[in-house]
Amino acid sequence: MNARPMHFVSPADFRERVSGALQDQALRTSMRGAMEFLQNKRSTQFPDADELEQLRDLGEAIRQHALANLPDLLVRFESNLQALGVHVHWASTADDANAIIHGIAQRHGARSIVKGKSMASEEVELNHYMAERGIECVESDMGEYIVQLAEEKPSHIVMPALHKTRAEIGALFERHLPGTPYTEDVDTLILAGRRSLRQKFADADIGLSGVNFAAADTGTLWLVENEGNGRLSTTVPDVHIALMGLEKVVARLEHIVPLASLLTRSATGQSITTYFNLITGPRRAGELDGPREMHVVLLDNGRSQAYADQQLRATLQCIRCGACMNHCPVYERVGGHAYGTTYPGPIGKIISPHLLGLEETADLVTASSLCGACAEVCPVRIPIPSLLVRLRTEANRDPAQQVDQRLRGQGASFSRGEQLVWRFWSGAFARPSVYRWFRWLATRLRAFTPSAQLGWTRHRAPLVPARRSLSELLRERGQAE
Amino acid sequence: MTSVRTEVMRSHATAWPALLADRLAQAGVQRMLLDHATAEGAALHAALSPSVQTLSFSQPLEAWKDSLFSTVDAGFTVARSGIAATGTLVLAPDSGTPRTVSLVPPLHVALVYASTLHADLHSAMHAEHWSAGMPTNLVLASGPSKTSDIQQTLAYGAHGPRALWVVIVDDVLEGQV
Repeated sequence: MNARPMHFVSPADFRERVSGALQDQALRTSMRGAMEFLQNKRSTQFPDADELEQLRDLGEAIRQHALANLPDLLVRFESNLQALGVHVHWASTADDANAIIHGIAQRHGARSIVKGKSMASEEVELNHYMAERGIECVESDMGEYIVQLAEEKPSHIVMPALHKTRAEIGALFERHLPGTPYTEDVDTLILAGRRSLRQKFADADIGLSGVNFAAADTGTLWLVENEGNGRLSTTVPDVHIALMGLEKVVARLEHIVPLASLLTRSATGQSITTYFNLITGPRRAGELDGPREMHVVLLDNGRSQAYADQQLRATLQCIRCGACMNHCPVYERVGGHAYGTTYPGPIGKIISPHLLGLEETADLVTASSLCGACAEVCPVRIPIPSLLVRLRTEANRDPAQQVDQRLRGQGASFSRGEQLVWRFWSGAFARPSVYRWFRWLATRLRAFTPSAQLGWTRHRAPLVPARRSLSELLRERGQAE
Repeated sequence: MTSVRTEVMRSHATAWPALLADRLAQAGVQRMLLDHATAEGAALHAALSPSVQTLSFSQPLEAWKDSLFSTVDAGFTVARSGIAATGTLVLAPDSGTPRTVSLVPPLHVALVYASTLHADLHSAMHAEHWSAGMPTNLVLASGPSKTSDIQQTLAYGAHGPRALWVVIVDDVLEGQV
């Protein structure tokens, strides 16, 4: 078994995919439209700037409070779940999570699992793992279902099929859903999707869902959705498995109220989604529906690395609204697939190095102009640009250097030559006499400047020093230095 | 609620069953799931025309899953309360009205008493002491099922009920009328 989950694409090929994506005019157009739509929807939900800032303060404080107390909260959450009759599992890696879920499926002789939307299950490549073992996983969120039929991965964490046009979806449904003629009418397409999935809910042995928030004090799972597929997946099958990142727990149920409001308003610009589905344990005696057995799988998969570092811990404040990607100039231009990670966009750049290591993700952390739009819209105030800078530092750190919290893949971008250049530059810059000498030499020898300057000249004209430095020119004009 | 295509009817304690029965007949509902043991369920049953068949959720889901999925047109629930700020129903399924009543049939009809309305989610949670005892499932429903997953175009009836009707019973004003 692989030490880490299999990827259909690797984030290491990021650069190649970016140049492909930038030339894809259809993708550029549809991304631009979608981003504008989502940005406008969000801004209509926050007409009062003061209220927004107060709510962000509150959201940040709640998430930081939860993270500061996370070990205790997890213990309380676990014991409250157990008191309710829920089986609690701890998965330190993606493979652990898959093996746990497969074990539950085997015990029940399950052949099919119907899934509500879960990014954590995308992260561990659950569908792939189960398919290899003869168990079918059916995505039931419309966007996820479309992406699954197309044998792709989600390109956005909230809107998985964001990159697809209705024409592409019409053709996809015509090909895969028996008796569905081609159409671009969205109502007809959704109806076709509804029909084909309805029986799956009734037939599935197990329902699997993600979790948006969890309350330690009541052992409640809080699921946010619009379609009702999450409710069906967690209500109709006999067994419910919830897979969640272990950072999702907050101290008290009431702490979720502002977070849920920030989530729906930031993500899709809705004051509330159609359903908030609050689940507190399996079916109790006397009840006539709901799962008779319930499991919660708490997933680490690299999160504890972020947790251990005071600065990087802020990464785990995320409530997965996707506002950072909706406002990111890089994401808008390259689309979600270019990243090659489960979580694309700004949040993906700061979480993926912990999930996959910097070896694979070193290019991702540099793919930012540090414009700061992500941090400006983040509902829980994650300082994404400064975390990116920190991750760049770690990627360029000498792999041999001993540090307190060593990140997986430290020094992935480290180059001895680059280190020497910087050492020389800072040495020269700090000594005026050396710098003056260097400046004189560079301007006089400008004719010898190489015309090929590595990455710089791939898309730009070569840099050549000026004939004379600014201070020399000023002196020539008679204005003393 | 009407902004997300929920049909809202306002009525009084004595008038709502007839009003609703009328609307259900117009909509062509033939098989309706309701709890006969509650006052509201019994009142609605009495008002419905004999051509509408009513049934109670009297056996575990497994025993009649297929029939629930394919033959029931509508489910009737009485909301525990409502939330004004977001147009939300607080549904607390129990043994008489299990979770699937408001989920599987294509039409969900919910009755909510005006006296149970809260200003917002936070006040509902506090007034009802949620933390002191959560039911296995508490659902906040704000409209019929919907999705924007195809090119950000809103479509109703993705998986849950395709239509939601809410009857607000003005019990607060009752004394003054």
